[in-house]
Amino acid sequence: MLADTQEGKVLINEAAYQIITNNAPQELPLYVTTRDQYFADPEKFVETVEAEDEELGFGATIVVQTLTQAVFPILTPILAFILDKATEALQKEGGERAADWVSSLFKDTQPKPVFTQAQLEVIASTIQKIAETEADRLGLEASQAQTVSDSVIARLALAKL
Amino acid sequence: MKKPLNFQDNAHLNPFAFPSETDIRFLLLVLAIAGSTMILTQAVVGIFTNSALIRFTCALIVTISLVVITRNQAQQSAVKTIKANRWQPFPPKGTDPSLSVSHQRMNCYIQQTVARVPELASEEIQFIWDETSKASKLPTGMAFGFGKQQYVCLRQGLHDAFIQFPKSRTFQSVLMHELGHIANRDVSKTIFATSLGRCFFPVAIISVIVFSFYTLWAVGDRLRRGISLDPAQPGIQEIINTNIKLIFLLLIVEIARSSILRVREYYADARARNWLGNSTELTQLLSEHLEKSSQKFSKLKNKKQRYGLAIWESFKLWFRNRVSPLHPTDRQRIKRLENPQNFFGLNYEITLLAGFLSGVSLNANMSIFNILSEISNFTVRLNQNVQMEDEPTLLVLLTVLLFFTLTLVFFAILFAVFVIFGLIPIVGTVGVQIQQAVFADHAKPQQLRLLSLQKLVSLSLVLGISFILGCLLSPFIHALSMRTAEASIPWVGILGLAIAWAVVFFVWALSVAQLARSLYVNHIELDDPRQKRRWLTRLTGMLLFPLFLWMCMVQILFGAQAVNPALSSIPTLIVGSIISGGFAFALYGIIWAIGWRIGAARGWFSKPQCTHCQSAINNQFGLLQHCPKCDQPIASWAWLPEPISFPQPPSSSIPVTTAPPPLSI
Repeated sequence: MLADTQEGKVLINEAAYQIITNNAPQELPLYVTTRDQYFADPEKFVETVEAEDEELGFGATIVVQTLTQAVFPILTPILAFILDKATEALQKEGGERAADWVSSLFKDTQPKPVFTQAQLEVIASTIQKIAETEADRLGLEASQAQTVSDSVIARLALAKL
Repeated sequence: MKKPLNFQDNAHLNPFAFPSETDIRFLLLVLAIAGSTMILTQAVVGIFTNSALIRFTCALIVTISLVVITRNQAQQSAVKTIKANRWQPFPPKGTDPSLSVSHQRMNCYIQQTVARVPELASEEIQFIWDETSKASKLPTGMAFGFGKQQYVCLRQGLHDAFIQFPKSRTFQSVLMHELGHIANRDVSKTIFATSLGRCFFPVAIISVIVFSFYTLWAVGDRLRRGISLDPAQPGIQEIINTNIKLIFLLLIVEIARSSILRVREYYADARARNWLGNSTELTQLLSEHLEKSSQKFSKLKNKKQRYGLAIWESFKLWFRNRVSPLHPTDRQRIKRLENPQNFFGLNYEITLLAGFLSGVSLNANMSIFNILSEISNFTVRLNQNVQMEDEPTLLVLLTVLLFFTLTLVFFAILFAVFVIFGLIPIVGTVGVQIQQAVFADHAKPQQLRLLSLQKLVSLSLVLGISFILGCLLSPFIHALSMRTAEASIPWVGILGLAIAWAVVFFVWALSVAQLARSLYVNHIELDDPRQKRRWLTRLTGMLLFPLFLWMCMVQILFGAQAVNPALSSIPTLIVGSIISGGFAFALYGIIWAIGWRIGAARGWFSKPQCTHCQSAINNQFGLLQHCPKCDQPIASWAWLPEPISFPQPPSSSIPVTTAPPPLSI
């Protein structure tokens, strides 16, 4: 899993921060805590919490779905997929490391073009499917999953050959 | 001057115009536990002594000790909870500067909100932060504490909700609900009720175990010594009976306890609604959860099927979810929020509990009658000793004095037992409910009627039957039990007694309704009619007393006749009951007339006058909100108050850096 390696964590951190900054800047105070919780135990992070029927509590409520909480579990498989695709594409060129390229995708204003239009269409559709499947599996809001996938696809569009 | 109230939003009656159902149920719980402790202690002490005086004294000591220990536990519970959960003061100290700033903003908003709530002006609320518990991700809070120590625990998830505020109103709804608990004085009552439950259950369990072991030992002893079990057989049956009744009693206590917790949630919602000015946000939040809850239940069902929960676990789950949940369902909460009239309706569950607990507790404490024979035996012995003395004059005087003192003390205790265990559970609960239902019907006659003659009849029947049920299900045989292992009043007789009780309660309920109607609709002052309410509650208690005492006497005499038919014939008893009933009703009438005259002399039943322009106010077609002549607000106590003005939502200007924060792990 991408979140298990230091390199993977760096990648997720860069991409997730970019997405939160652009789409939900008001959530930035939550960013570091949420990210650290996710990296500490990605499996536990996505566990659903059931409200306890406690005396003088509010009663049962549902978890507030922030984009910060949705971005990490959805982004991780998407980035892993892009990394695979980038590795394939960059191997043919035999130059830059895939991880560096993915990192530049979210950092640089004009990332290096790697994919053709046809490739991008297939990748975009797969990313959307990954996001939908993960949101459904983890009980996350579909709209937030779409925000994540759309943000990644928008960055990828900049890397069109 | 207050702005004219908008009919659509504010024309509802204020649920806080009368004592809340929470207070009523709390009173019932305390009486139920006190009564049960008296019953259990007397049973256990009864193994070692036959003296009713010793049994009663021990029971009283244990009950008072239970209350004292409970109070101590309640006082310490807040600090223990904070320590055990590793919660910290809010705002928490953190290493992430942007998070700390956000916590500070949240704290600032909360403090500003609290300062604007008039009901919280005298409270010193401490906010506590929870990021350690399993449910800390949820946007919830929890009010806790005791006495002057009032805490609100804020969960980490609530900060997430704050981040989304004001786009999402979850944060405000949850915060106001928790503050509602503080304003409603729920915290101390809840902690006390919980601690009372915790202290009472060991007493109950130990008593049942001791009692059962004693029975087993007694039977074993008879077997060992080769004594026939035949004479012990009815006793054994009685003891099995007693154990079943005891378990039933414990379940009733637990149901009463959880019912308090459920009801107070309605009132916390209602308080939040009053402050927010509408129920939209709370209803929306509950509706969202309602949608998801069906999925949760199906998951739970799958889990049960998959893992096959143990029978005990399944029972506990069923009992907690279905019989005594701590919170009402989302649907019930939405219903109450949308129509506050529901707060004024009669509640048959309370009536049932009140009648039952009154029957059980009063019957169990009827053992006090045995003390009377002990007092007379004691004075007879003293008298014999005195007669042997050479100069007995002073001693005779002292003996007579002692006899009268003891008799006086006995009657004072008897009166206290009747009032505490018999009258208060009924007058303080059902009586108050009748008062508020009558008021709501006359304040808003265009609404669905809450108290019709038919409802009053059903209420009286429920009360009568539940009282008899309480007497029958009292774990030990006492004066009001009507059935022993050997003899009993026939079922037709028991039914007759239940109907007679219902008639008594109906007559009493009618007078409560009549007096309440004239009293509250004429109260057009701005402050609530607390003084009038207390007066009416005391008066209705006094009205019930002669009828209650008479019916208890009738029941005791018929019960005694069933056990010992030689005591008196049934026709004689019936005639005697009718004659004494005549006296009881005459006394009832006298008290009613005196009460009415006192109220009338104070001007409480006459047409009110506007305090500003002195014009007569006609509330015949419903309680007015403004004087028709001078348009000044009247009877503000009865209507929903104006919402509070909330502080401006915090700005969301966050400094953004292009580089992501470095990884810390």
